[in-house]
Amino acid sequence: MANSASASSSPQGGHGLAAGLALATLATVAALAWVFWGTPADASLGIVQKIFYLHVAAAFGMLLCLCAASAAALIDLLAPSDPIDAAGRACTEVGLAFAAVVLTTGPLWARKSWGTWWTWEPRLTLTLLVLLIAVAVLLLRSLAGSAEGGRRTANALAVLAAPTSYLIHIAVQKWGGTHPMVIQGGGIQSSAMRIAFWGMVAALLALGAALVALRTRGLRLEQRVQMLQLELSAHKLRQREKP
Amino acid sequence: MRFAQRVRSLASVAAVSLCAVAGQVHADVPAPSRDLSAYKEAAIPGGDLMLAAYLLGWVLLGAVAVRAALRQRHTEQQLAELEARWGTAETSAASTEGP
Repeated sequence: MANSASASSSPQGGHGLAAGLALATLATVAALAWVFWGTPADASLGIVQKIFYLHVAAAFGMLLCLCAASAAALIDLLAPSDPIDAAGRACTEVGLAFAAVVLTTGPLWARKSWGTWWTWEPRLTLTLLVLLIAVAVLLLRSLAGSAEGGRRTANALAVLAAPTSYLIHIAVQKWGGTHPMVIQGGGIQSSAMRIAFWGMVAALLALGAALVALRTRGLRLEQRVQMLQLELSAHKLRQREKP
Repeated sequence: MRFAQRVRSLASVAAVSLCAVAGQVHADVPAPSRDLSAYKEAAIPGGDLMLAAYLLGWVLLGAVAVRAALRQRHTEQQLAELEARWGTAETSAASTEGP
């Protein structure tokens, strides 16, 4: 461990996080209600187009979380710090959850709009790649335990998530593919749809932030547990050595 | 942190970045994309797919939240136990050392 963990185990922090998570959940429920009852069905794609609001909002969350995880990994590689490490791991975990949502909802939408569950087009392939990077980072951390080498290797791998996320962002412009360009290509025309889309983006980002905060606190507590276990072992050894 | 460790960190980041760039150069040949613009399924509504997408999405995010909360509760219990043991160990150490 790089430095002493000093996570607060005070219940106040936990209550604040629970309140934040509850607020974010309420916001997502409100956004969801607006998506289902406040927006019209798309003229050409019909009701299935409503997957777009969750799919793209989750993609925003995925890109932000994985870029934040990459930045944290780079900082931790250059100047190891336990709080940064915990925040980076939390961002990777939440980013992975968002990536799973993106790759679950996407094929369901594609089945109707493209006539296929999956196609190896650049954006889809890169999204799968970034998900695999996140899985590899978390597996490495989990298998390495508290070993410094595992932490550094996982961080070096996590740094890759940011350039891959950027490539996902530019994939359609650069390489084409079957993905439509809704946001960059003129935007959403209906105001009700625009409210639903940005409302869902805000709600999911709030939920993502609450989850990252929750996991960061959990990982800091785990670091504190590790430190205390080490201190107790050292204390036992000192007692045994006493005449 | 020692200078050598910093140099090693920078070298590993540079190596990984170079690998990424090399991979991108290799992948720069665009794959022929399928022309799906003409596709229109007869019964386009797909309400079942939309419901499945929202259900799976929220189940995934809900599972992450519940798992995180349960893990945190378990760690808090573990921490409280360890802190109690640490307190006892310190008290016993102080009593054996005497005034």
